[in-house]
Amino acid sequence: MGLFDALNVSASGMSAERLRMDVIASNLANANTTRGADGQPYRRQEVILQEKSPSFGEVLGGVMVAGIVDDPTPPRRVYDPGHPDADKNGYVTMPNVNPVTEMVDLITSSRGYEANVTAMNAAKQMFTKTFDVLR
Amino acid sequence: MQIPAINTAAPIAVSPTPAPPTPGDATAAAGGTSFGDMLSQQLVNLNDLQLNAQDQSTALATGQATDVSSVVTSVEQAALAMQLAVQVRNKAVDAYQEIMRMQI
Amino acid sequence: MDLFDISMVGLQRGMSGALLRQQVLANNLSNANTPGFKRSDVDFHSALAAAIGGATSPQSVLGTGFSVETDTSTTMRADGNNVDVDGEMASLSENTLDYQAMTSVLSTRVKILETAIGNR
Repeated sequence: MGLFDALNVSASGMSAERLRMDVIASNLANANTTRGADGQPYRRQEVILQEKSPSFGEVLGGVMVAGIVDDPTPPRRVYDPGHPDADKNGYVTMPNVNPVTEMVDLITSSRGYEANVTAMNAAKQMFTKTFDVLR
Repeated sequence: MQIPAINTAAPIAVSPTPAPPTPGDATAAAGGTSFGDMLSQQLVNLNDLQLNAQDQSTALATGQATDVSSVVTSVEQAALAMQLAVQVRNKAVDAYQEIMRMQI
Repeated sequence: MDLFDISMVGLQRGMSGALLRQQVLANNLSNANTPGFKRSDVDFHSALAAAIGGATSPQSVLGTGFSVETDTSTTMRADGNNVDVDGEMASLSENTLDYQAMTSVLSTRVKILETAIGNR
């Protein structure tokens, strides 16, 4: 609807940031998983954000998640001969998740979510004040 | 010093009294509209504002309105114009009654 | 003679539609974690647009019905639930503001009628 587009745009931002937080939480939880769903070590996942083209009647569309893809960087190899998943040379292939990077992304995502909530509240306040003209 | 004598032969020239103004003269001379025309123009404006408020309300109900502030201001303008028109009508009726009360 | 013209009856029905949509959206939110649940919505604006477009008198708009439609679009979630909490919250806010807009505009139009009828 064309009247309250600002709310839809903020909502798309909130959804995207929430999804990013879910993916980051999954990465952190699986930071040491050597046996993923397909038997291979867990691969770090990333969310690709894309600007949403406006649908009929809208001016701006907001953001949408284009996809969740695997991080192509190669996994870490750690020397640990006692590990059950060590190969014949004693190296274990660990997921390419860096907890520090994930925490920074988490903070960014959380601040982004708060910013979108603030934007939506500001838009709601403006609309509510408009109706005061009519008392 | 010489005081000129009053020339009694020439009559005192009296400037002709101006004709009493007819209602349309002065305003027509000024190039503007008469009060009656102004009133009817204001009524047309009032009607236009009411129709505009009606269109904006319909757009709001059918979800085709794009700007809340324009809907709100147009409806408020219509309300104010209606109040103004009613007050002008009241004053005009009062003035008419006042005139009818005058004893000739 | 109708006191309320088509636009005012439209606003009146719009308010009812907004109330119905509020219930539907609240139901969506409460089922945000139910597996297999599909969200629904009420598009009362389109129903009113159709009714007003073909209306000859305010009475015909008064009987406009609203239908609750299920949204069967796909989702990224594994449990089949397609409720996006943030989207529902935004729609709820939008619906509330919509209701407030229609209420204030309708009350001002009624005030115009009162002024014309003649409170001196």
